[in-house]
Amino acid sequence: MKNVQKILNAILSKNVFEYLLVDREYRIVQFSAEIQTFLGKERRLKVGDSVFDLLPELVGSEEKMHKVFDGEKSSFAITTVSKNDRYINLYVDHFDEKNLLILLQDITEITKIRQRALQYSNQTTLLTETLKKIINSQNAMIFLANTENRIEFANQKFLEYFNVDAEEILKKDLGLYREMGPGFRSYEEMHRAISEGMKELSIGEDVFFVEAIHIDPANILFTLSKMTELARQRKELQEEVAYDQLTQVYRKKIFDDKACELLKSDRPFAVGVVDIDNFKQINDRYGHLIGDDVLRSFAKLLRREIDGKGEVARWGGEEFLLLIHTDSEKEAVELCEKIRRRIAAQRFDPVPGLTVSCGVTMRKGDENLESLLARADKALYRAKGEGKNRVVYLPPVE
Amino acid sequence: MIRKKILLLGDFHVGKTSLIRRYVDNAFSDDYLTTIGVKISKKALKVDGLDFELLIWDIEGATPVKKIPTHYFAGAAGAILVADLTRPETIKGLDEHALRFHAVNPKSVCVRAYNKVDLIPEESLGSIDIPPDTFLTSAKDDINVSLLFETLVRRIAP
Repeated sequence: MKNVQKILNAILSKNVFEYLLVDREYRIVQFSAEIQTFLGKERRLKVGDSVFDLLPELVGSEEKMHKVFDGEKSSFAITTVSKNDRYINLYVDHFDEKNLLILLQDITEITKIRQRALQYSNQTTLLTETLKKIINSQNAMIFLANTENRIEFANQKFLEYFNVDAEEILKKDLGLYREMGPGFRSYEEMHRAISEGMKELSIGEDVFFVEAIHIDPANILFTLSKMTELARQRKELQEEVAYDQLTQVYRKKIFDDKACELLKSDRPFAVGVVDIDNFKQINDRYGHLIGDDVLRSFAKLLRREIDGKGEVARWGGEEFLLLIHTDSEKEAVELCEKIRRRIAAQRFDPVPGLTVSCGVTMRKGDENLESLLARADKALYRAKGEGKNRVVYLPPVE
Repeated sequence: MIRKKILLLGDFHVGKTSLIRRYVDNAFSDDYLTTIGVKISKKALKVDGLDFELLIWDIEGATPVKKIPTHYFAGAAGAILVADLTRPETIKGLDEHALRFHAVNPKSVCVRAYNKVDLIPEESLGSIDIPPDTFLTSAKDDINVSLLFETLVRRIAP
């Protein structure tokens, strides 16, 4: 009666439904009727069977079982064992000096719920791992910043570039936005600048193409694609397109763009056309290489004289254009006159006595580039007609 | 008949259950059903004239937040440490699994399976660093699966 009570108490305390008693030979001496549920139909349990045949989960635990027999250990458990499409916990308890009590707790229902949760969690982890791999494989720096200036996620490229670790960026505002542009005080401000048209940003000597999108009200996803090399090549190309290769002053196209921009505005300016007198004779007498040297030196002088006051461009051959930022015809004429005098005074070895003629005019309120250039050219024509080596001004009203 | 308990250890979704299923039932399924707790399969085999009954413990894989409970390790003669070749982090994790297993069973033996080799392009196979006692396996294509188990059995044979 005492033993029955013991089994009952154990069953009640562990919410267990089935039990076994085994002897010191690990033979089954008693079992509850429904224990067969865990064995399947093909196997019939009987007294005298080895407990290890019924419960191979106990193989390897002989030492522990021995200790429970001898009272050195009161009990042990093997949890969540899958058996015949069910899940059980096994509890091995001391019963008396001759027997061990083995309790089987059916945990199938709760374990199946846990399994579904674990399956979902594992699949989510796999998906996260895959997404991380995809994001880390990108050449661009990708990061997610929140409105409190914390970076919630950054890919490997970002961490390597800024030499920070993933833990560090999560903990505090590292102020990396300050390195990403002119005076940004937050990622939100950076996002605003991008929304308003900013496409590139520079970090040190590197140039990045930048994109930003609010993926939700609190988080902004930034993508920075390094284009330093591309930017360098683009700059080189722009310079190649913008500058005359021989003289290193603007090409006519760039002059036109700058003049048109000014014509669209109300800003006053003057245009000068400067032509080297008798240049054909220089080429004929000294050769084209010397002619080129003269053009280079001449353009250099023009650049120096016009520096900060306007722009210089080569119209073609020995003819150059000046765009002078001034509202004073007197100032424009004086500058051209100064250039003329400097040319006349400078040596262009081996060419003696180089002179230039210059036509100059001011913009009219609403004229186009063609008429402005035609007037300046007309002034030049007059300067040539009046004996060369002079500056002629034609006012817009003419 | 020599009865031996062996374990399959590794991170989740590396193919431990599939390797056992291929070895014991010669079957394979692409469906992923995560193992919870432990499931024991039996396999009788003869190696070098000795009859063995293997009790193969398929143990729930480790996740980033949960390690494998060591109470399953008690009394195991050996373990197969399984990694997924498509997830390098699972290969890195094998040393920790080995350490924890040997802490419970200092005299036991381990072999390693770099599984899912069927997913690796043939031209990339040469670049895989394969430590000693490691097998490139595929439960799906039945590559090296029997060899893996039998090698472990030879190591644990008396």
